[in-house]
Amino acid sequence: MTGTAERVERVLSAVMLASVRVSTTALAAGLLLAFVRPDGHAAAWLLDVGILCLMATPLVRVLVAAAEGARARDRFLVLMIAVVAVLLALTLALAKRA
Amino acid sequence: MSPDILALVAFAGAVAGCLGALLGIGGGVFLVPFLHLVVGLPLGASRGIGLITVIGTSSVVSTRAAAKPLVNMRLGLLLQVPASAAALVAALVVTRIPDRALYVMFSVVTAGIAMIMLARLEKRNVILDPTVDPGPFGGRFFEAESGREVVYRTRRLPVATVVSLAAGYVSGTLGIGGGILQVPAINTWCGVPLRAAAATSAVMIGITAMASAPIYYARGDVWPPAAAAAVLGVLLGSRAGLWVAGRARSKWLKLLMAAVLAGVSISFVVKAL
Repeated sequence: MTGTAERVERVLSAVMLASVRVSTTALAAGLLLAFVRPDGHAAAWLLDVGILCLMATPLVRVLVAAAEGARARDRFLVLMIAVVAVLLALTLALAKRA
Repeated sequence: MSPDILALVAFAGAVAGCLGALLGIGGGVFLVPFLHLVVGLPLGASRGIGLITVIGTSSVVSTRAAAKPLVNMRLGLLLQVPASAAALVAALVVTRIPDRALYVMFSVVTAGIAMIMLARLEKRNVILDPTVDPGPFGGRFFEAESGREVVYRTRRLPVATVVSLAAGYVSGTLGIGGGILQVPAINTWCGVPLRAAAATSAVMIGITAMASAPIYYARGDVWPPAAAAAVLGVLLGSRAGLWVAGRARSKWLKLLMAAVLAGVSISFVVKAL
């Protein structure tokens, strides 16, 4: 259980780092493209991808914390993460309706 | 938007990111007034972009292995529940709140916290005996100033919970991240050393901002080119801020924080007039 949680934590940390890098790259490329071809759709798409990737990073951080909690067998931590995850899911559901 | 304006936004983002990472407060508190008052973006768009940059600062800190020993996840996630709930509610009701009332209230709170921080400049909140039990919400870390592992205990959790509720609300309504309330409060009133408070808050503010940012995005209040310029600046500035944070003395960080809070307080008074 502990070994599995440790592996999950490592994978999620790598995903979080990748999410920041993808976001940075997409935002830089989108901004550059917006100057070169202001009326193109590619720039807008890249900028949206960058912003959405960045917004996803805290969600991954919550999953990393969940893995940390599972590894430490810390029920309190896992419970708090579950409540926060429900609140973030509610935010996404309300944003979809907005 | 012209390249000149976007370059200005990126520069402001870098300054905001540096101070935000240094103090664990996100940087939105500098950027939102700048985007609104200097660049001339609507307040809604400035707040939306502010929230995205707060997520940017938080993401940089969260991916840094060096900050990990300072982050108190148990305390952070306990306080994350009221902060996220308040941020969500704030994002939904923000359009009905008179801005002027919020500016006045916020100005008073930030000025008060700045004065409390100045009064406690020499207080470090650490226990030098590493064998002391930190309790369920305390922690331990290597402190460069004393050259050894130190321990701290967290006190007055109800106060921290109420402050987190207020911080989440402020994050969702003003788009500035809740760290500006949380860091001084949990440092001054709850006994958490400034470095641990700033590192924990830096992780939390991203999750708090995430509780309202998608609603701003769905409303069209995140302008992609300006947001991209601000975020790129913030990501660069955050790395510089973390480098400085590892080398600066707590006393100077507290002085900087007090100066920042005083500046924010004055800017909100000016905005309210």
